[in-house]
Amino acid sequence: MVKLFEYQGKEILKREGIKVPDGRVVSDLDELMKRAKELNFPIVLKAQVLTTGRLKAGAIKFAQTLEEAEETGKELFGKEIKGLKVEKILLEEKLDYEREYYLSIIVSDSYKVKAPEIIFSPVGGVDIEGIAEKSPEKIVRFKVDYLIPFEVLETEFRKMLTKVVRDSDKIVEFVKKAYKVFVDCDARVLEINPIFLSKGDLIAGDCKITIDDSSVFRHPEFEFEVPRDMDRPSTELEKIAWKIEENDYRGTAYFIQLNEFNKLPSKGKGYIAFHGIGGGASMLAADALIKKGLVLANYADSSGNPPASKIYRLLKVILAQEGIEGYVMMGSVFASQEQWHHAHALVKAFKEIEKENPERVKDFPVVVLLAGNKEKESHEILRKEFGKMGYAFELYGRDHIYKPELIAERVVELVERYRVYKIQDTGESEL
Amino acid sequence: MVEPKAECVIQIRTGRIVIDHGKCEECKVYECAKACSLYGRNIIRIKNGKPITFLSDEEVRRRDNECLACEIHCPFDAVRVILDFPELDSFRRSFNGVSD
Repeated sequence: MVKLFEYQGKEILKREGIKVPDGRVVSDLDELMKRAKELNFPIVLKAQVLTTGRLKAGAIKFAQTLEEAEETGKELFGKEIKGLKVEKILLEEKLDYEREYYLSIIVSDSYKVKAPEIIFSPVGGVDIEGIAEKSPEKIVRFKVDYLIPFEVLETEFRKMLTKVVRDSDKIVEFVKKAYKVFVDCDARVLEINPIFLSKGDLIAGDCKITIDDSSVFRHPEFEFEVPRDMDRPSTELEKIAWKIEENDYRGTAYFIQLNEFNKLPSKGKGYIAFHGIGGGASMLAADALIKKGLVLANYADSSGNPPASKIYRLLKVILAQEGIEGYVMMGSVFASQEQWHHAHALVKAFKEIEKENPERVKDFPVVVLLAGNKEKESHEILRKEFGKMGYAFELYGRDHIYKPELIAERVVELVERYRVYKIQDTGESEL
Repeated sequence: MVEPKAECVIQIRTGRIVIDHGKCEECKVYECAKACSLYGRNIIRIKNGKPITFLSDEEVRRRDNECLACEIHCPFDAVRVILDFPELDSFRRSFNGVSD
């Protein structure tokens, strides 16, 4: 799922006729000073970072004067909020308000719902989770039958609302517009918290929109560089990896770097490129590797029956990471996926890399657990082809699915051997 | 004068299969076509002892599953599946990874 910044979400709300506070987005201090003059003080300075709980985290500040705005701007720009660097600030006029409401529209995958759900509360603002826990009667949950136009469902929704608010007309109108935004954006989540009731008007105080990954291609207007659910800017390699997925919907080629800013204090017992097939077992395997003291450079996944060409390109990205000391694939999929496509991709990618520089990759650990459909045939291909190459290659099958610790131990041993070789034979301490 | 290589190029969805027919002279096993039948979609067939396709470009792109098997299973190193990745190529010029 891909998140939009608050200012992007508010632009969309505004286009749909939902009121938002008068505001400006700025990217540096000069722009801040120029734009702040266009607003009526006091103003709010809201750091545009993709995280929740911004008020408590110090990402939202108030300024009574231009001088205060300048001071606060200096403090916010470049600051890290929950690990995210502030690169944009939204300046908004501070509103006087009588009440705060809460609204979210989500795609609920609860087995009881399996549909869009509108969640409304007359008690908005911070800590909505606390309200849900302490006073669940103050929350209205309305399941939307998406095959029926919302206008038809309006009466039913209004009836539910009257249990928590006296004047429901404006709220119904507001929710109708918000629901249209939710549908038009192919959103998974639209949250407006708070909605201010100010001088008789409902105004969106905040806006969080999360778009469904699979719908991103329908929304070039959002200009996502890498449409993944991430709370930091993408690395160069992640951007490159996205090119594999961008126009090819056959299976998945997921890639995320875990030590993307080279902040590693040490490589532990081995700095490993990790490649899983399918979520659950791969997570277990990754955990097992970490528990043995290995450090994962990345997490990658190629599942959903991707073609060998897609797996091959993903492998090339995985192996392009600087300083890796081994490659581990853990894949056990017993659904429709034929594992020989992974076998072919592995052979092609590693063969090409060896051809480029055979000495450099000698004894480089390549540990593969490949289980599932066509396992036997896949193992034959891998054994035959890797037997001709110089990697420290080890292959495991279905007998080892529940023994990731054992494989992790082997990886540690192979990395140790590889490190010795690298220092002795090449004088290099890493790749 | 060096005889130009007799090459067969088959455009697939995200790349191309390049077959060096010069290397197929000695071949009697036709592993590329067998692999294409087993792992792929019967794109490659044998005519006069050489692997070719009888399908149109459009049909190849529609049908092919890019299994790479023709390249892996050819014992004469005559088949190459070229999968361009220009973004990675330019990145790799400046990296220090395993394939450097």
